[in-house]
Amino acid sequence: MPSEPQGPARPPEPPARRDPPSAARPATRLHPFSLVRGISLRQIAQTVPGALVAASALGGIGSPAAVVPVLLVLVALRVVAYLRHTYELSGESVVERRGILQRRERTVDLGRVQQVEVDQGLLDRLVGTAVVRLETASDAGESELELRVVSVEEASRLRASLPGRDVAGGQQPDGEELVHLPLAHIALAAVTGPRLLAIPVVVGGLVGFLVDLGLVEESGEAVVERLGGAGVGVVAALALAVLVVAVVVALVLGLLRDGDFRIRRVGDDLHVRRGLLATRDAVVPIARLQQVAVQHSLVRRALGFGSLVLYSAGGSAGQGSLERRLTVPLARRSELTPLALRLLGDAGPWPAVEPHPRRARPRVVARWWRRLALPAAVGLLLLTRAVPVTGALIVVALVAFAAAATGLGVLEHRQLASGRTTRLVVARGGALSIREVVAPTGKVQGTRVRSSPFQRRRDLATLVVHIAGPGGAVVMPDLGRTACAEHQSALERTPVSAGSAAP
Amino acid sequence: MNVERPSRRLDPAVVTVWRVIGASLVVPVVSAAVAVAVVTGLGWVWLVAIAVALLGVVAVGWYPGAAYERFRWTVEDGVVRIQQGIVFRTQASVPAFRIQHIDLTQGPLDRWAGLQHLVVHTAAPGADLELPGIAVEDAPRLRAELLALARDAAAVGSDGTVDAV
Repeated sequence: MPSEPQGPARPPEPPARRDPPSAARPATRLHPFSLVRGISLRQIAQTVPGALVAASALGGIGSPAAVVPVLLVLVALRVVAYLRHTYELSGESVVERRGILQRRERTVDLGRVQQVEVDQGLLDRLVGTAVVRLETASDAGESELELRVVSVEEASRLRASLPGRDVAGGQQPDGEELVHLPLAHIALAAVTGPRLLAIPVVVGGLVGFLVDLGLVEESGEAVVERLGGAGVGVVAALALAVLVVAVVVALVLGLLRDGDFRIRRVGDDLHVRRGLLATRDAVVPIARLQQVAVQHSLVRRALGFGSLVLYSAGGSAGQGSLERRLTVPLARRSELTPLALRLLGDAGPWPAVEPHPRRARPRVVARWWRRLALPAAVGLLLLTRAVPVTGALIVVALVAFAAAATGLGVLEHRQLASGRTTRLVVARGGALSIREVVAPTGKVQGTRVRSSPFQRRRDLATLVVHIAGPGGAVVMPDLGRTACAEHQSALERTPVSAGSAAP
Repeated sequence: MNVERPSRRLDPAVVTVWRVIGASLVVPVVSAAVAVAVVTGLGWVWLVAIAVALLGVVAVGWYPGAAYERFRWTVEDGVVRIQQGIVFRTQASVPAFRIQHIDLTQGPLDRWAGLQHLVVHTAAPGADLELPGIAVEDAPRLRAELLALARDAAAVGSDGTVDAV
């Protein structure tokens, strides 16, 4: 296996390890609060069926004779699990041991630890504990360690004793502040974001559910008939109420989650902190960043804003998202590209993007036809349940579908563009909501050029640039075949990586 | 752009494996279609059954050979390249220093034919390359060659300009 090279700006010799005597510690238990905090959803899912079976065997669910012994057993099991869960820190690795019947010993080599996250939920804040998560570069799914929960002092001690992570626990160290979002921006982001749709979707689902149960009249006509003229006002008022509730909920949730959003650059790492009551605190090494997506949703674009998503690799896809996908909720449009470049470690100028060939337009339109065909069919089906089917309706629906698909295809084709410098590769797409993805050429794992017969006829192909991590591949659809080949050939050579501290 | 086509091919035995796999899918479908035609006795159902049978013949008789012809791979300039596909054509490339590990896999059919699949893994699952038919005698050597290439290429890059992932 190739040995892992050091990150770009680290000195050639191994990083000076802060290894004070207190760093090495013998097997320690978690904070007692983890008796409660340490219960995970998975554990609940595993024990509930067994508990229910036991309870019904003992005397029926709900009867005290059954519930009390079962509860006592569960509590006893939890206490034993807590007592048997230990972690041990030596100069070189962290060892976690847990399990009652099935013991698990997990060793994480400190040299491989790439990210350290310290989270405090609301309860943690009150009690004085925090969740500490260690993640490594291995994407193989092992080697992720989560200590839920330890005391805040222990969390800072752990953080301080991990090599390279020279962070004084909890406080923001010196460094350059790259992002600090004012509350107003967070609020705006919350109100224009996807969470806004959560309430209406839930309500819509509920109504559908009620209809299926037969509690509400199925035919729209019958409902209108019943309510009469005054009913329309009632429905309108209800809709408005739902909208207001949706806005308020989205606002509150957004502020709680992202309030006081800050990113500082400290050396080769990005320190991210966000959250009003429950804070999330993460260190993301710039070298771990795989790609950055700049998003302009329709509404935000109209207001002159956009958002950024940072994707970093490393660590399993299991519990603890650990900022593998970190969203900067809002930024002014003019600041988006410079910010993305700075977050990538001053990786050089944004590549000049060139639009994809004109002859690609029919292909892009065809793609939208395919994308919308199924949802349109489903929509039409639902519509026929509410409104009587006539020939005119079908025609109108088909025309609407054709117009929408073609319109979106044309819009997207106008946005399709891509470009490359020696250090970065960029692809832009999207019809209403535009998305521009930039990745350092140093992160390219491999490339694929794919062509369908239709594309070949027009001398087009699609280039897929594979990047590790949750962001997926950078895709340049319907690009000229020569351009694809050039990109592929250029990306095969040993590239220069982004992320060095030097400009 | 690489002017010459990648030149190496898979082991010819893989065509037989593909034919067997194709047949195992086609024969039940064709039999079902013919059975339905016999049972219903309708004219148009017979036409459909005949069409399906013809498609089956093409799928088993022609397609594996054509796909084999189209599958080319090469290792040169420190890059692993694969070209494949008849209708949907793909050119994939992975620089050697991106190779994380290499798997040799073998199903029962492959074992019977004396073949192995060689799968090159990178840090991005989408970039992984697969050579679906390498002779059992050659596979371990090829794997070792590629891993050595990967190690050397990674060493060249380890002056700090290339990240592990």
